[in-house]
Amino acid sequence: MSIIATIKKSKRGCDITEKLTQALMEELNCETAFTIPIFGGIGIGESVAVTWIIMAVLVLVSILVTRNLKVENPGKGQLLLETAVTGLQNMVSGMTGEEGKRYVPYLMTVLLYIGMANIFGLFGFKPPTKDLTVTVALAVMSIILIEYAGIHAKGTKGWVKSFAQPVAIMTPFNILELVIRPLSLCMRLFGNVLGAFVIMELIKQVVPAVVPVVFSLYFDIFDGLIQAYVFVFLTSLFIKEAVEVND
Amino acid sequence: MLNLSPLNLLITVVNLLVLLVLMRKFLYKPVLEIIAKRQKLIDGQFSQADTAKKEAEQLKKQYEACIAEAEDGKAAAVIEAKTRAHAEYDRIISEAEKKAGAILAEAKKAGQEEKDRALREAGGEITKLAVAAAAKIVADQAGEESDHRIYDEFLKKAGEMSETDSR
Repeated sequence: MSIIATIKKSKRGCDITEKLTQALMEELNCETAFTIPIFGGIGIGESVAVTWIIMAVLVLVSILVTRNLKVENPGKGQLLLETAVTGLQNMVSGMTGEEGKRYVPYLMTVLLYIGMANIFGLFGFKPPTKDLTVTVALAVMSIILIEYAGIHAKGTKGWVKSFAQPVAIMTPFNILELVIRPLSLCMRLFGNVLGAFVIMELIKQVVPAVVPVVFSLYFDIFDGLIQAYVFVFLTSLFIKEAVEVND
Repeated sequence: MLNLSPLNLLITVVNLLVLLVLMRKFLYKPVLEIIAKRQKLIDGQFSQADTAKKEAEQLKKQYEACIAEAEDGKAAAVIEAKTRAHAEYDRIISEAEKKAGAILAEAKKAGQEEKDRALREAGGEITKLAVAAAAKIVADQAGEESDHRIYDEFLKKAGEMSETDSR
Protein backbone atom coordinates (compact mmCIF):
# COMPACT_ATOMS: atom_id res chain seq x y z
CA MET A 1 0.00 0.00 0.00
CA SER A 2 2.67 2.41 1.12
CA ILE A 3 4.91 1.41 -1.79
CA ILE A 4 2.19 2.21 -4.27
CA ALA A 5 1.63 5.57 -2.64
CA THR A 6 5.31 6.34 -2.82
CA ILE A 7 5.46 5.38 -6.48
CA LYS A 8 2.40 7.49 -7.17
CA LYS A 9 3.92 10.36 -5.32
CA SER A 10 7.22 10.14 -7.18
CA LYS A 11 5.37 9.84 -10.45
CA ARG A 12 3.45 12.99 -9.63
CA GLY A 13 6.73 14.69 -8.71
CA CYS A 14 8.16 13.65 -12.04
CA ASP A 15 5.14 15.08 -13.75
CA ILE A 16 5.58 18.44 -12.04
CA THR A 17 9.27 18.54 -12.89
CA GLU A 18 8.55 17.59 -16.46
CA LYS A 19 5.90 20.25 -16.72
CA LEU A 20 8.23 22.83 -15.27
CA THR A 21 10.97 21.84 -17.66
CA GLN A 22 8.61 22.02 -20.57
CA ALA A 23 7.33 25.45 -19.57
CA LEU A 24 10.85 26.65 -19.01
CA MET A 25 12.07 25.40 -22.36
CA GLU A 26 9.16 27.12 -24.00
CA GLU A 27 10.13 30.36 -22.38
CA LEU A 28 13.78 29.88 -23.22
CA ASN A 29 13.25 29.11 -26.87
CA CYS A 30 13.90 31.91 -29.24
CA GLU A 31 11.09 31.36 -31.61
CA THR A 32 10.67 32.82 -35.00
CA ALA A 33 8.16 35.55 -34.48
CA PHE A 34 6.94 35.63 -38.05
CA THR A 35 8.15 34.95 -41.55
CA ILE A 36 8.31 37.52 -44.30
CA PRO A 37 7.16 35.69 -47.41
CA ILE A 38 9.88 36.88 -49.78
CA PHE A 39 13.07 35.16 -50.91
CA GLY A 40 11.56 31.89 -49.85
CA GLY A 41 10.57 33.21 -46.45
CA ILE A 42 12.73 35.28 -44.09
CA GLY A 43 12.36 34.12 -40.55
CA ILE A 44 12.28 37.09 -38.22
CA GLY A 45 13.42 36.09 -34.76
CA GLU A 46 11.55 37.09 -31.66
CA SER A 47 14.51 39.13 -30.52
CA VAL A 48 14.47 41.16 -33.71
CA ALA A 49 10.76 41.82 -33.36
CA VAL A 50 11.23 42.93 -29.74
CA THR A 51 14.18 45.07 -30.85
CA TRP A 52 11.89 46.82 -33.27
CA ILE A 53 9.41 47.45 -30.48
CA ILE A 54 12.23 48.82 -28.30
CA MET A 55 13.38 51.05 -31.13
CA ALA A 56 9.84 52.31 -31.66
CA VAL A 57 9.44 53.00 -27.95
CA LEU A 58 12.80 54.80 -27.73
CA VAL A 59 12.08 56.95 -30.78
CA LEU A 60 8.52 57.73 -29.68
CA VAL A 61 9.64 58.67 -26.18
CA SER A 62 12.44 60.78 -27.66
CA ILE A 63 10.02 62.64 -29.90
CA LEU A 64 7.60 63.11 -27.02
CA VAL A 65 10.15 64.47 -24.58
CA THR A 66 11.90 66.72 -27.10
CA ARG A 67 8.67 68.44 -28.11
CA ASN A 68 8.73 72.23 -27.76
CA LEU A 69 12.03 72.53 -25.96
CA LYS A 70 12.62 76.05 -24.78
CA VAL A 71 15.86 78.00 -24.75
CA GLU A 72 14.64 80.28 -22.01
CA ASN A 73 12.80 79.21 -18.85
CA PRO A 74 12.88 75.45 -19.45
CA GLY A 75 10.33 73.44 -17.50
CA LYS A 76 11.13 70.79 -14.94
CA GLY A 77 10.72 68.02 -17.49
CA GLN A 78 13.11 69.66 -19.90
CA LEU A 79 15.69 70.22 -17.17
CA LEU A 80 15.44 66.57 -16.21
CA LEU A 81 15.84 65.51 -19.85
CA GLU A 82 18.84 67.81 -20.35
CA THR A 83 20.43 66.54 -17.16
CA ALA A 84 19.84 62.94 -18.23
CA VAL A 85 21.25 63.38 -21.74
CA THR A 86 24.26 65.44 -20.70
CA GLY A 87 24.82 63.16 -17.72
CA LEU A 88 24.83 60.10 -19.98
CA GLN A 89 27.11 61.88 -22.41
CA ASN A 90 29.52 62.94 -19.69
CA MET A 91 29.55 59.46 -18.22
CA VAL A 92 30.36 57.78 -21.53
CA SER A 93 32.81 60.45 -22.74
CA GLY A 94 34.53 60.20 -19.36
CA MET A 95 35.13 56.52 -20.09
CA THR A 96 36.31 56.93 -23.68
CA GLY A 97 38.54 59.88 -22.99
CA GLU A 98 39.07 62.98 -25.08
CA GLU A 99 40.20 61.16 -28.25
CA GLY A 100 37.28 58.79 -28.26
CA LYS A 101 34.60 61.48 -28.10
CA ARG A 102 33.35 60.76 -31.60
CA TYR A 103 32.16 57.29 -30.55
CA VAL A 104 30.05 58.62 -27.68
CA PRO A 105 26.70 58.77 -29.56
CA TYR A 106 27.05 55.10 -30.57
CA LEU A 107 27.93 54.04 -27.05
CA MET A 108 25.04 56.03 -25.63
CA THR A 109 22.70 54.35 -28.08
CA VAL A 110 24.01 50.90 -27.13
CA LEU A 111 23.61 51.76 -23.46
CA LEU A 112 20.02 52.87 -23.98
CA TYR A 113 19.26 49.83 -26.12
CA ILE A 114 20.75 47.21 -23.78
CA GLY A 115 19.24 48.93 -20.75
CA MET A 116 15.83 48.97 -22.36
CA ALA A 117 16.23 45.40 -23.65
CA ASN A 118 17.16 44.08 -20.21
CA ILE A 119 14.23 45.68 -18.42
CA PHE A 120 11.82 44.81 -21.23
CA GLY A 121 11.23 41.50 -19.49
CA LEU A 122 9.12 43.49 -17.02
CA PHE A 123 6.58 44.21 -19.72
CA GLY A 124 6.13 40.55 -20.60
CA PHE A 125 8.49 40.47 -23.54
CA LYS A 126 11.43 38.15 -23.86
CA PRO A 127 14.46 40.40 -23.54
CA PRO A 128 16.34 40.43 -26.88
CA THR A 129 19.65 40.24 -25.02
CA LYS A 130 18.60 36.75 -23.98
CA ASP A 131 19.09 35.79 -27.62
CA LEU A 132 22.70 34.97 -28.43
CA THR A 133 22.21 36.45 -31.90
CA VAL A 134 21.72 39.94 -30.45
CA THR A 135 24.65 39.80 -28.04
CA VAL A 136 26.90 38.44 -30.77
CA ALA A 137 25.80 41.26 -33.04
CA LEU A 138 26.53 43.80 -30.30
CA ALA A 139 29.93 42.27 -29.55
CA VAL A 140 30.90 42.10 -33.22
CA MET A 141 29.97 45.74 -33.65
CA SER A 142 31.97 46.62 -30.55
CA ILE A 143 35.15 44.88 -31.72
CA ILE A 144 34.80 46.41 -35.19
CA LEU A 145 34.36 49.83 -33.59
CA ILE A 146 37.36 49.28 -31.30
CA GLU A 147 39.65 48.27 -34.15
CA TYR A 148 38.27 51.03 -36.37
CA ALA A 149 38.99 53.55 -33.62
CA GLY A 150 42.54 52.21 -33.41
CA ILE A 151 43.06 52.51 -37.17
CA HIS A 152 41.49 55.97 -37.20
CA ALA A 153 43.70 57.24 -34.40
CA LYS A 154 47.03 55.62 -35.31
CA GLY A 155 46.76 54.94 -39.03
CA THR A 156 46.89 51.43 -40.49
CA LYS A 157 50.62 51.13 -39.88
CA GLY A 158 50.38 52.28 -36.31
CA TRP A 159 47.45 49.95 -35.74
CA VAL A 160 49.38 46.93 -37.06
CA LYS A 161 52.40 47.93 -35.00
CA SER A 162 50.26 48.26 -31.90
CA PHE A 163 49.85 44.48 -31.88
CA ALA A 164 53.51 44.14 -30.98
CA GLN A 165 53.22 46.42 -28.01
CA PRO A 166 54.35 46.75 -25.33
CA VAL A 167 56.78 43.92 -26.27
CA ALA A 168 56.96 41.75 -29.37
CA ILE A 169 56.23 38.59 -27.42
CA MET A 170 52.78 39.93 -26.64
CA THR A 171 51.75 39.77 -30.31
CA PRO A 172 49.91 36.41 -30.16
CA PHE A 173 47.99 37.50 -27.11
CA ASN A 174 47.08 40.80 -28.69
CA ILE A 175 45.77 38.95 -31.74
CA LEU A 176 43.86 36.54 -29.52
CA GLU A 177 42.28 39.54 -27.83
CA LEU A 178 40.52 40.31 -31.11
CA VAL A 179 38.43 37.21 -30.44
CA ILE A 180 38.49 37.12 -26.66
CA ARG A 181 37.19 40.61 -26.13
CA PRO A 182 33.99 40.34 -28.16
CA LEU A 183 33.48 36.79 -26.96
CA SER A 184 33.67 37.86 -23.31
CA LEU A 185 31.48 40.87 -23.98
CA CYS A 186 28.75 38.87 -25.67
CA MET A 187 28.87 35.91 -23.32
CA ARG A 188 28.83 38.07 -20.20
CA LEU A 189 25.75 39.89 -21.34
CA PHE A 190 24.05 36.78 -22.67
CA GLY A 191 24.84 34.71 -19.59
CA ASN A 192 23.67 37.34 -17.15
CA VAL A 193 20.42 38.03 -18.90
CA LEU A 194 19.75 34.33 -19.56
CA GLY A 195 20.54 33.44 -15.97
CA ALA A 196 18.31 36.15 -14.64
CA PHE A 197 15.60 35.11 -17.04
CA VAL A 198 15.78 31.43 -16.03
CA ILE A 199 15.64 32.27 -12.33
CA MET A 200 12.75 34.64 -12.87
CA GLU A 201 10.86 32.03 -14.89
CA LEU A 202 11.47 29.40 -12.21
CA ILE A 203 10.19 31.75 -9.51
CA LYS A 204 7.18 32.63 -11.64
CA GLN A 205 6.39 28.91 -12.14
CA VAL A 206 6.59 28.25 -8.41
CA VAL A 207 5.04 31.42 -6.97
CA PRO A 208 3.15 33.33 -9.59
CA ALA A 209 2.33 36.41 -7.49
CA VAL A 210 4.07 39.04 -5.29
CA VAL A 211 7.35 37.16 -4.80
CA PRO A 212 8.54 37.62 -8.41
CA VAL A 213 8.21 41.39 -8.02
CA VAL A 214 10.91 41.50 -5.37
CA PHE A 215 13.28 39.34 -7.39
CA SER A 216 12.40 41.21 -10.53
CA LEU A 217 13.73 44.40 -8.96
CA TYR A 218 17.13 42.79 -8.71
CA PHE A 219 17.29 40.51 -11.75
CA ASP A 220 15.47 42.65 -14.27
CA ILE A 221 16.17 46.21 -13.26
CA PHE A 222 19.38 46.26 -11.24
CA ASP A 223 21.26 43.49 -13.01
CA GLY A 224 19.88 44.57 -16.37
CA LEU A 225 21.10 48.12 -16.03
CA ILE A 226 24.42 47.00 -14.53
CA GLN A 227 25.01 44.71 -17.49
CA ALA A 228 24.20 47.51 -19.93
CA TYR A 229 26.66 49.74 -18.11
CA VAL A 230 29.33 47.04 -17.99
CA PHE A 231 29.03 46.34 -21.70
CA VAL A 232 29.38 50.00 -22.62
CA PHE A 233 32.04 50.59 -19.99
CA LEU A 234 34.25 47.79 -21.33
CA THR A 235 33.73 48.81 -24.95
CA SER A 236 34.67 52.41 -24.12
CA LEU A 237 37.64 51.24 -22.13
CA PHE A 238 38.89 49.21 -25.13
CA ILE A 239 38.29 52.19 -27.41
CA LYS A 240 40.22 54.43 -25.06
CA GLU A 241 43.06 51.94 -25.10
CA ALA A 242 42.91 51.69 -28.90
CA VAL A 243 43.02 55.44 -29.53
CA GLU A 244 45.79 56.09 -27.05
CA VAL A 245 48.89 57.06 -29.02
CA ASN A 246 51.78 55.72 -27.00
CA ASP A 247 55.10 56.66 -28.50
CA MET B 1 18.40 29.40 -27.12
CA LEU B 2 21.84 28.92 -28.50
CA ASN B 3 20.99 28.98 -32.18
CA LEU B 4 22.69 31.67 -34.19
CA SER B 5 20.91 32.85 -37.26
CA PRO B 6 23.19 34.89 -39.51
CA LEU B 7 20.21 36.63 -41.03
CA ASN B 8 18.88 37.81 -37.69
CA LEU B 9 22.39 38.84 -36.70
CA LEU B 10 22.61 41.02 -39.76
CA ILE B 11 19.17 42.48 -39.10
CA THR B 12 20.19 43.25 -35.51
CA VAL B 13 23.32 45.07 -36.72
CA VAL B 14 21.20 47.10 -39.13
CA ASN B 15 18.67 47.73 -36.36
CA LEU B 16 21.35 49.13 -34.09
CA LEU B 17 22.74 51.39 -36.78
CA VAL B 18 19.24 52.64 -37.60
CA LEU B 19 18.60 53.18 -33.90
CA LEU B 20 21.83 55.18 -33.68
CA VAL B 21 20.70 57.44 -36.52
CA LEU B 22 17.22 57.82 -35.06
CA MET B 23 18.44 58.58 -31.55
CA ARG B 24 20.87 61.09 -32.95
CA LYS B 25 18.13 62.80 -34.88
CA PHE B 26 15.39 62.68 -32.28
CA LEU B 27 17.16 62.76 -28.93
CA TYR B 28 20.80 63.90 -28.84
CA LYS B 29 20.60 66.56 -31.49
CA PRO B 30 17.55 68.47 -30.23
CA VAL B 31 18.67 68.37 -26.61
CA LEU B 32 22.29 69.30 -27.28
CA GLU B 33 21.22 71.97 -29.73
CA ILE B 34 18.94 73.58 -27.21
CA ILE B 35 21.72 73.51 -24.61
CA ALA B 36 24.16 75.06 -27.08
CA LYS B 37 21.60 77.72 -27.97
CA ARG B 38 21.07 78.56 -24.33
CA GLN B 39 24.82 78.71 -23.78
CA LYS B 40 25.08 81.10 -26.72
CA LEU B 41 22.27 83.23 -25.35
CA ILE B 42 23.88 83.38 -21.94
CA ASP B 43 27.24 84.26 -23.41
CA GLY B 44 25.59 86.98 -25.49
CA GLN B 45 23.84 88.36 -22.44
CA PHE B 46 27.05 88.35 -20.48
CA SER B 47 28.91 90.24 -23.17
CA GLN B 48 25.97 92.63 -23.49
CA ALA B 49 25.98 93.27 -19.79
CA ASP B 50 29.71 93.86 -19.96
CA THR B 51 29.31 96.41 -22.72
CA ALA B 52 26.47 98.11 -20.89
CA LYS B 53 28.58 98.27 -17.74
CA LYS B 54 31.47 99.81 -19.60
CA GLU B 55 29.16 102.35 -21.20
CA ALA B 56 27.64 103.21 -17.88
CA GLU B 57 31.08 103.69 -16.38
CA GLN B 58 32.04 106.00 -19.20
CA LEU B 59 28.85 108.00 -18.75
CA LYS B 60 29.50 108.20 -15.04
CA LYS B 61 32.94 109.61 -15.71
CA GLN B 62 31.45 112.15 -18.07
CA TYR B 63 28.88 113.21 -15.54
CA GLU B 64 31.46 113.49 -12.84
CA ALA B 65 33.56 115.72 -15.07
CA CYS B 66 30.48 117.79 -15.85
CA ILE B 67 29.62 118.16 -12.20
CA ALA B 68 33.18 119.15 -11.31
CA GLU B 69 33.11 121.75 -14.05
CA ALA B 70 29.78 123.08 -12.84
CA GLU B 71 31.12 123.28 -9.31
CA ASP B 72 34.10 125.31 -10.51
CA GLY B 73 31.75 127.59 -12.43
CA LYS B 74 29.57 127.97 -9.38
CA ALA B 75 32.47 129.02 -7.19
CA ALA B 76 33.59 131.55 -9.80
CA ALA B 77 30.05 132.85 -10.08
CA VAL B 78 29.79 133.21 -6.34
CA ILE B 79 33.05 135.12 -6.21
CA GLU B 80 31.98 137.33 -9.07
CA ALA B 81 28.60 137.94 -7.50
CA LYS B 82 30.28 138.82 -4.23
CA THR B 83 32.60 141.29 -5.95
CA ARG B 84 29.73 142.81 -7.78
CA ALA B 85 27.64 143.02 -4.65
CA HIS B 86 30.53 144.66 -2.87
CA ALA B 87 30.92 147.23 -5.63
CA GLU B 88 27.19 147.87 -5.60
CA TYR B 89 27.26 148.23 -1.86
CA ASP B 90 30.11 150.69 -2.05
CA ARG B 91 28.33 152.63 -4.75
CA ILE B 92 25.06 152.75 -2.85
CA ILE B 93 26.77 153.82 0.37
CA SER B 94 28.76 156.52 -1.31
CA GLU B 95 25.66 157.70 -3.14
CA ALA B 96 23.71 157.74 0.08
CA GLU B 97 26.51 159.62 1.78
CA LYS B 98 26.55 162.09 -1.05
CA LYS B 99 22.81 162.52 -0.87
CA ALA B 100 22.90 162.88 2.88
CA GLY B 101 25.61 165.51 2.53
CA ALA B 102 23.54 167.37 -0.01
CA ILE B 103 20.43 167.19 2.16
CA LEU B 104 22.41 168.37 5.15
CA ALA B 105 23.92 171.23 3.20
CA GLU B 106 20.51 172.19 1.92
CA ALA B 107 19.07 172.04 5.39
CA LYS B 108 21.89 174.17 6.69
CA LYS B 109 21.37 176.64 3.92
CA ALA B 110 17.62 176.73 4.61
CA GLY B 111 18.30 177.28 8.31
CA GLN B 112 20.65 180.13 7.55
CA GLU B 113 18.13 181.73 5.28
CA GLU B 114 15.41 181.44 7.91
CA LYS B 115 17.72 182.97 10.47
CA ASP B 116 18.56 185.82 8.13
CA ARG B 117 14.90 186.36 7.43
CA ALA B 118 14.10 186.32 11.15
CA LEU B 119 16.89 188.76 11.82
CA ARG B 120 15.72 190.97 9.06
CA GLU B 121 12.18 190.83 10.41
CA ALA B 122 13.47 191.52 13.89
CA GLY B 123 15.40 194.50 12.56
CA GLY B 124 12.16 195.80 10.99
CA GLU B 125 10.30 195.49 14.30
CA ILE B 126 13.04 197.30 16.17
CA THR B 127 12.92 200.10 13.67
CA LYS B 128 9.13 200.22 14.08
CA LEU B 129 9.53 200.25 17.86
CA ALA B 130 12.15 202.94 17.68
CA VAL B 131 9.86 205.01 15.49
CA ALA B 132 6.92 204.40 17.86
CA ALA B 133 9.10 205.29 20.88
CA ALA B 134 10.27 208.47 19.20
CA ALA B 135 6.70 209.39 18.39
CA LYS B 136 5.64 208.74 21.96
CA ILE B 137 8.46 210.91 23.33
CA VAL B 138 7.61 213.62 20.97
CA ALA B 139 3.93 213.36 21.85
CA ASP B 140 4.31 213.22 25.67
CA GLN B 141 7.06 215.82 26.08
CA ALA B 142 7.70 214.27 29.47
CA GLY B 143 10.71 214.81 31.68
CA GLU B 144 13.66 212.74 32.43
CA GLU B 145 11.47 210.32 34.33
CA SER B 146 9.37 209.53 31.33
CA ASP B 147 12.45 209.23 29.26
CA HIS B 148 13.66 206.50 31.53
CA ARG B 149 10.32 204.75 31.46
CA ILE B 150 10.20 204.84 27.68
CA TYR B 151 13.70 203.53 27.48
CA ASP B 152 12.92 200.69 29.82
CA GLU B 153 9.80 199.85 27.88
CA PHE B 154 11.74 199.77 24.69
CA LEU B 155 14.36 197.51 26.16
CA LYS B 156 11.74 195.25 27.61
CA LYS B 157 9.94 194.94 24.27
CA ALA B 158 13.15 194.38 22.44
CA GLY B 159 14.11 191.70 24.97
CA GLU B 160 10.77 189.96 24.61
CA MET B 161 11.11 189.93 20.86
CA SER B 162 14.53 188.56 20.88
CA GLU B 163 13.33 185.94 23.34
CA THR B 164 10.49 184.85 21.05
CA ASP B 165 12.90 184.87 18.10
CA SER B 166 15.41 182.70 19.73
CA ARG B 167 12.74 180.31 20.86
